[in-house]
Formats: sequence, structure tokens, C-alpha cells
Amino acid sequence: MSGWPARGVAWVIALLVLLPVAVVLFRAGAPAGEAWAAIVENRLWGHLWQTGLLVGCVAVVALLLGVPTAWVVSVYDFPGRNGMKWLLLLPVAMPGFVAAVAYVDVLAGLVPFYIWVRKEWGIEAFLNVQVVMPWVFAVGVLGATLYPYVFLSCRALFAKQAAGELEAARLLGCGSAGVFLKVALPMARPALVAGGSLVVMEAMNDYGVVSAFGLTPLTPGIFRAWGEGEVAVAMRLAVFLMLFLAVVLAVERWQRGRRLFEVSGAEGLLARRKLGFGKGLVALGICLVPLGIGFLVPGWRLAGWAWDSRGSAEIVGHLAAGWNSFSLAAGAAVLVSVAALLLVAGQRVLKSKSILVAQKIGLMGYGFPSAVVAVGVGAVVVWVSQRFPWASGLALSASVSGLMFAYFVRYLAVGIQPVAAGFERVPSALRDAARTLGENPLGAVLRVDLPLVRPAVLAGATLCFIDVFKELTLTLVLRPFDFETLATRTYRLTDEGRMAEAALPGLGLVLLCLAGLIPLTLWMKGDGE
Amino acid sequence: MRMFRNKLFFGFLLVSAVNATGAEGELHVYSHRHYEADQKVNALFKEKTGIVVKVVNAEVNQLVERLKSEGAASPADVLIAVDAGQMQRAAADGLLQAVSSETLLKNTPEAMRDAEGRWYPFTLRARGIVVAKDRVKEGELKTYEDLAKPEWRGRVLSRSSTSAYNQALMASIVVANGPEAAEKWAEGIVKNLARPPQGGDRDQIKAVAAGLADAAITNSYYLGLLLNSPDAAERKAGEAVRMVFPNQDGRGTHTNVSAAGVVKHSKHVDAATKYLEFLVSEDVQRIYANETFEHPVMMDLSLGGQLGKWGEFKVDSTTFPELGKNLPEATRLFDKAGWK
Repeated sequence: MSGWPARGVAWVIALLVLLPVAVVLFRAGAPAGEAWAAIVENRLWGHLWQTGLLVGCVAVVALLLGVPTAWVVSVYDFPGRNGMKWLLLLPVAMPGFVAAVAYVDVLAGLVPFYIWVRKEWGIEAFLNVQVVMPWVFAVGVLGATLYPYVFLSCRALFAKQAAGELEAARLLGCGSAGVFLKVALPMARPALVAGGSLVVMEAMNDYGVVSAFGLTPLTPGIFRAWGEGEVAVAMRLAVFLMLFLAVVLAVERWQRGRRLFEVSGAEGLLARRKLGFGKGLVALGICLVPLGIGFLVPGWRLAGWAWDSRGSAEIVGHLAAGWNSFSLAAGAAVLVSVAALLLVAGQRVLKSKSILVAQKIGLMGYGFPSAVVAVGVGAVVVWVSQRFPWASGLALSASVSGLMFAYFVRYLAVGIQPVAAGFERVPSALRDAARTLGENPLGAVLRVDLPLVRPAVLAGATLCFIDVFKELTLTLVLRPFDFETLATRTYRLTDEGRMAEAALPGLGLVLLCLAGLIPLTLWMKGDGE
Repeated sequence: MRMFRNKLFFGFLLVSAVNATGAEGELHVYSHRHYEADQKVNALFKEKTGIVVKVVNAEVNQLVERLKSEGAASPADVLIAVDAGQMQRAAADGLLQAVSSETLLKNTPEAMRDAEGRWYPFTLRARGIVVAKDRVKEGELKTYEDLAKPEWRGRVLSRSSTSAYNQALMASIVVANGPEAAEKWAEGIVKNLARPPQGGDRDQIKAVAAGLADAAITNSYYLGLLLNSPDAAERKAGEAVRMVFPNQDGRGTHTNVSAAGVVKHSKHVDAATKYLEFLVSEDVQRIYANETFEHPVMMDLSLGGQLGKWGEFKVDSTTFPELGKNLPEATRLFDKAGWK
């Protein structure tokens, strides 16, 4: 069997994933005229330093929140620890732009504080403190909703992989602080870098939080240019964002590559030390800070507002938006799962190197910045609608098909990873047995692997569903006119200063994400043990 | 499975195609406005004519892009924007068609409509200045230009320069004073800002009321909305400030419009024209004057109580026809002056 159709499909998928970035690179070379000169003169530097400062601060805050929490739940026993182990993951279901709803009015309410500063410290301090405060809020909200990436990677390391080394350090007489600083932290470096770079990528992609607090890093800058019809400017700014990403990835590689930490093969479980009442309270407090900022406080405020606005006429619109979110997420989950299966199973059947390369390209999409994918796909759809006028009305620049395409590019990796892991876990002996019993390679995959990897496919589909369901950045740019999802509706109402009305769609989004995440976490936990 | 995926894909395409076709007895309006009063107006139109108004809401830039890409296939009959400059540009792009009717000519001011009849205003939106009653004396602030003077350091508020309202104001200053003076003015305002631009006009008024600054550039109807809010705190904020209509001794207060035009490829030109006429009828003008607190297009202040309290003012109609042409320059100068 030559398998060229499978190779063909795999490469079509891979090229589709690369297309938006290729378009951006290609179009960025087009002449941009005075508009670009004006951007370079007035805005570019601001976009760049704001992006750098933002991702730097967010990464630091996420590490400060994620590492100590992972440490205390891994090595200590204290009242509430069992709950905290899971509760600390909740902010994953609280997208930054939803949490921001609960903080925008707090920032607006700081006026008396500013006036006090002016009275006490004079006008310069008054002006400066107002520049700083939006940063404090934006960085705080992003850090408190993104720290779970750090928490997860560190918890896995502290509790299991590094358990032996930590135990040894303890036995050798190292105090708790010493174990943490001298053994745990250095060992955790790869985990810190892995979690931290995810945080940085998410912070780079954010549009909702930074615009709620009035910051202008590259992502909103790209959208502004795109919205003003300055396509070439948007493309060039997008290239800068990719350069930024390249720097981040290079730092990650360098950090991981220079020191490879050999973690003892046998995974043990660390014996947790029981804390006394006072220290137990401190540990609980350490956990409550990020959970509070990232989930409890915004959740509580949103719930209150949602309750107050329960009779509002907006509810019909919320429901329509909810249906749109659901359809988009379901459609994307199906597309991604099918493509992921084709890539992984195809490689399995044909043992084809070229399909493996296609699969690796598919994984890259997750790393592409949203703003880059958005303008790349946007340009493709505009081109299609101009080139094939009969399709205008169908393939509008902001149509659902373009949106699906963008989701596909960004989230294909989310589908591939669990499916590939699922296939890995199927013992090859099973397949060999099937082959011995007369199945051809395709038959073996269909009748042996497929039933066994079904849970993995479902997990991938669920993850993709959740990611699309709460997606804001791509959706804002590419959605059809007059078409709202829960995410864009929450964002719009916040933008219009209607926080109380934004609460209900925001909360709906969080609850649906939780409804998807909880069974998934339980399933993965069951699977892992 | 691949076929299934394709079906799904084309399924989505079809959904968007079905949405794009219009039906008889319906009028498709692409509108930047999204107030409750507009829904009321459209319901009234249906009551009077039996024609159902279907509205697509989006930023005017997006609507214009959509009209361009849809071309002759567009279902749109009417385009509504809240900025004369945008209407001027849409007309220049050939997206609108000229219509004429006695009602429209009689009920709209000549200086503030398109000379060729491609769009007509239906509300006036004055961009004035609110000042703190207790900290700014009557007559202390008379012009936009005053706001840029050094004695206002740290006392002024404005929303972002990306706001179409600010861009149109800046365009009017470019026309009136020239680009160099306009840039100086913007730099002066940036120096005088009490905080980096954030929030909408309403937030600026509230911040002045709370004591953060002494003056804010804002459209007058936002103050009207606060003064008549169901929320007591908002009414209190409205009571703490005073509306100033600037440049009364000179060119007048920069006043923009809500405007509507019949789309070039509209299949329902008669109904669309009827809708435009309806928008400038007394009934509709009264709704706007009392619910959104925009000024009636013919400045008939007897239509709304709040407007009567503010009284008459001179509208800047000299720079008005040049706004659209100067919008790009206005944005550029804002950037140059560092107005965020």
C-alpha cells in the first residue's frame, strides 16, 4: 500500500497550519508607505517595551504565585490541603478577560486614593501613580489566572519526580527552607521554564485584559492597525510579535539545554510533613492568595452581579451568544479531532516519516500568537472573497469558515497531543497479534487501536472545545458581523462599562469550562494512577 | 470522515449565505448605533409602515468594509454612522446613493447634510466640556484652545484618541487652526491630562465629579444620560458638573451628527427613503431628545426638557464639511502628540 492519499491529506493539514504565518511573512514585505513610517515614529517603540514589560511582569507574578503553592501542597500536610490541590487549578477556567470584569471598576474606584496622593505628594506623583496602577491590575489579573501552568508543572515535579532527592536532602539534615532553596528550586528549573514560557505565550496573546486596563502592547496594536484597514502595518507588527516569540522560545531552549537535570528514574511519593496550626494557617494563606485573586473574588463579584441582572432583557442575547460559542467550539473540536486522528493513525499505519513531520508542524500552531493567526487568516479570507466574488457572502472576511480555520490552526496541537499519547500507550504486541491473525495494518488500527484510544480522542476534543469556548482574541477579529459569542459579549459589555451585565455571560463561560474540565481532570487522574 | 468534515465546513458556509439574503417588507440597516431608543424608533416605524427593520450592529469601519466586500450582493438598504467624517468617506467611496425628498430637505440643516443628498443627519451631538461646578468659575473656560494652556496642568480629562468623537474634534481643529497649531494643541492637552486616557465620556464626567480633574472633553448627551439615570450616584455625579459649549465667540462648538444614507445597491430605495424621512420626523426627534439627550437635528429645543436647560448654542458648521478629509491627518497628529 503506497498510502499517498494519507500523506497528501497530512500535508494539506500541515500546510493549512503554516498558511497564516506564511501569509503574514509574505504580506509584511509589501510596501506599507507612510502609514508604517508613522507607526515606527510614534507607536512601535511603545508596543515593544509594553510587550516586554508585560510578559516579564506576568511571568514573575505567575512564578511567585505558582511555585510556593506547588511547594506547600506537595510537601506539607495542613488543613484544606486536599481541597487546595484541586482548587488551585480553578483559575484555568477563568479567562483573564472574565476576571478583569470584576476588577475594572475597582481600578476606576481608586480616584479618592489618587486625589489623596496629589494632596500629599504633589502633581507628579499623582500623574505617575495613575500610570502605574493599570499595570498593577493587568499584571495581577493575568498572573493570577495564568499561574496554574506553573503550579501544575512544579507540583508534578515536587510530588513525584523529585521526591527521592527531596527526601534525601531532608534526611541529610537540610531544613525546610534549605530543601526548597538549595534542592527543590534548582531541580524545578526545567518545570519553571516550561510553565513560565506557557504563561508568557498566553500573556502575549492576551487582548481582553490589556485593553480593559488600557495598555497597548503588540497584540492590541496589531488589531488596531488591522481595524483601521492598514493591512501591511498589521502584518509588520505581527512579524515583530513573532520575533518576540522566537526570543522567548530561544531563552526556553537555552535554559533547558544548558543544564539537563537527571531525575531519578523511580518516581516516589514524597512523605508530606504535617504542619502545626499556625504554620498550617500560613500554608493555607499562601494558597488562598492566588485562588482568591484568580477565582474566588472575581467569581463572587460576577455571581452577585449576575444575580442582580437576572431579569434583564439581555438574557435572550446571552443565550444566542451561548449557542454560538457552543456551535463553534463543537465544530472546532470535531474538525481538530478528525485531523488529529488522521495524522496520528496515518503515521501509525504507514510508519511514514513525512506524516510525522506533518504532525510536528501541526503541533506548532499552538505556539503561533493569536494576533498573527488572526490577521493571517483574515487576509486569506479577504483574498478568497475578492478572487472568487461568487463566494462573497459566503467567505466574508469575518465569516464562520475563517474563524473555524483559525481555531483549527491554533488548536490542532491540543487534539494531536492526547491522541498521540493514547496511541503510545497501546502495546504494540496487541497490534502484532492482530496482524498475525490476518488483519492488514489499516484494519489493525481501526479495530485494535481506535477502540483503545477513544478516551484520548475524547480528552483532546474536550480540551479543544474548552479552548475555543473561551477564546476571545481570534474571535474578535474574525467573527461575522452581528455575531457574538459569550466571550466577545463579555468583552464588549465590559468595554462599554456595563460590568453588571457582562457578569452573566462571563460566569456562564466559566461554568461551562468547569463542567468540561472537572470530568477531564478526574479522568486523567484516574488514568494516571 | 473527510467527507463529514467537508459537509460540516460547507454547512457553516451555507448558514452565512442564508443570513445574507433579504425579504420583502424588511429593511436592512447597517448601524453603528445601539441604543434602546433606536429599538423603540424601529418598532414605531414598523407600527406606522408595516416594514420590519433588521439591524446589523458594528463599528462603522467594519460596516463600510462589509459593504465594500459585498458589493451588489449586499442585503443592506441603509447605513447609519455617528460621525459625519465616516459618512463623507463612505459617500466618497461610492457606497451610498443620492436620494432627495422635500421632507429631508426641510427637516435637516443645509450646512450639515451631504450636498449631493447621499446622506442626511438625524441627531446632533455636541462635543463640549464639562467642568466641576465648585472649582471652575463661570467664564473661566471658554474654548477648546483654553484647555491646552499651562494653567490647566493636571486638571483635564479626555478619552483615548482612538475614539471617533475625539478624531472628529481634532479634524475640526486641523481645519480651523491648521495642522501645526492642532498638533501644538494636542501636545498641550496631553501635558494637561490628569490621567492617561481611559474609559468613555461617562467615566470622564464621573471622574471630574469625584475630584480627579476639573474639566473633561465630552459629548453633551452623556451628561444628559447621567442626570437622568435611574442610579442615584450617577445623578449626583451629573449634578456636580456644568456643561460648557466652547468657542461661542468664534467658530462655535464642534458638533457631529448621527446620519443615515441609502446604500448604493439597496433593493428597497423607497422604503429606505421613507425610513430616513421617518428619522427626522417630530415623533422620532422627540424620542431622541428625551431618551438619548442628543440635540434634535433642527435644534428645536422645545422637544426635550434637558436640552432646554442647557439652552441654545452656536454650532461649528464651517469646519463640518471638511471633517472626513482630515480624519487621517487628525489620527496622525494625535499619535505624534502622544495622545494615547
